[in-house]
Amino acid sequence: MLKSVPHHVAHHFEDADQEFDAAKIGMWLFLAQELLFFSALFVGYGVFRFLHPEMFLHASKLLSWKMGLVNTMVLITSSFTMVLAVWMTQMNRVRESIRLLWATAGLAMVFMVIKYFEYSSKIHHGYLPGSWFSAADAYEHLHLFFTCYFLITGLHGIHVLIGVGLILWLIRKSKQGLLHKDYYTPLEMVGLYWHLVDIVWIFVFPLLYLVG
Amino acid sequence: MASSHHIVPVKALIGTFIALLGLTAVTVLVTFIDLGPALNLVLALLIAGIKASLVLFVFMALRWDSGYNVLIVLSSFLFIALFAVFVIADFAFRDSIDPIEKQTFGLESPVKPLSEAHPYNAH
Repeated sequence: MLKSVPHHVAHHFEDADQEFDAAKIGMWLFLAQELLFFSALFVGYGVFRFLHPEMFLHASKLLSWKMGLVNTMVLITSSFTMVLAVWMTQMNRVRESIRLLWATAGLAMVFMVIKYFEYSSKIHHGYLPGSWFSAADAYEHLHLFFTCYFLITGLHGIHVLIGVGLILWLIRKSKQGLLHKDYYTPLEMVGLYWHLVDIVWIFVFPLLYLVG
Repeated sequence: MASSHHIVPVKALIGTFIALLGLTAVTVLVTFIDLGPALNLVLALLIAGIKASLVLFVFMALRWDSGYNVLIVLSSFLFIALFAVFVIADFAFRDSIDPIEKQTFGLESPVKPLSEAHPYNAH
């Protein structure tokens, strides 16, 4: 058993529960903002798809839905290991929690490696948008689909990498005995963030990879 | 305010995980059934919505969280819906409301010089 370091409630809170609830409201506000933030890209996607439905149908087939499916499974599994890591700490089983956090970070890296292979193949085909776009295609607006693809998955990928950083920070804190059944606020908050990254991907997968 | 320190039973977590994997398989399968583009999109969004709700309410424990946090999340989704509906409606009906504006949203030339768009404004 790792030695637990007691947590001191900040002086402006009445007790640990109030401190936890305040942190949680702040986290949910941040996540609500994250959803709005991502929604701008999804609405942009909606407008382009509305204007060019056949092109989207065609362009979606240029992506590998199998890679998208594997990545969906990987990310859902990582959400599950994350929620179990929180549960283990709530049960004061910190060592198991650390192992599950490593698993979560590992799955996140598997996700990014698959993404890397996907990106290389798309860039190789000249689908990188803007002045790099060089693919000749029957649809002259093809670049719009790939603008959506790279912006949405790119912003999501940045969130995954930030998540990995936060999980490594949690592993460090757990090893120092700072997270235990009486205090696990950072673990729970990063968990919420990680699930939100999963939720965004849940919408990305059918909208980009499975248009028709 | 309800106590936030709710420990979600592990059985609920495992059940949710299996349901999410199952619904992912359903997402892929329905793509191969051609119901017409509109219905396929609605179905895809519906399944994604169910999956997102499972993550929100079980993994993120919103089901046991305070009503205030539920309100924050639901209002976020409400505003996304408003945002999407009004922007798409703008693109869908712009022609019928103002015929002069026809095709000004054409993506080859999304912007017109002010003098050209409104000649009476040119000084």
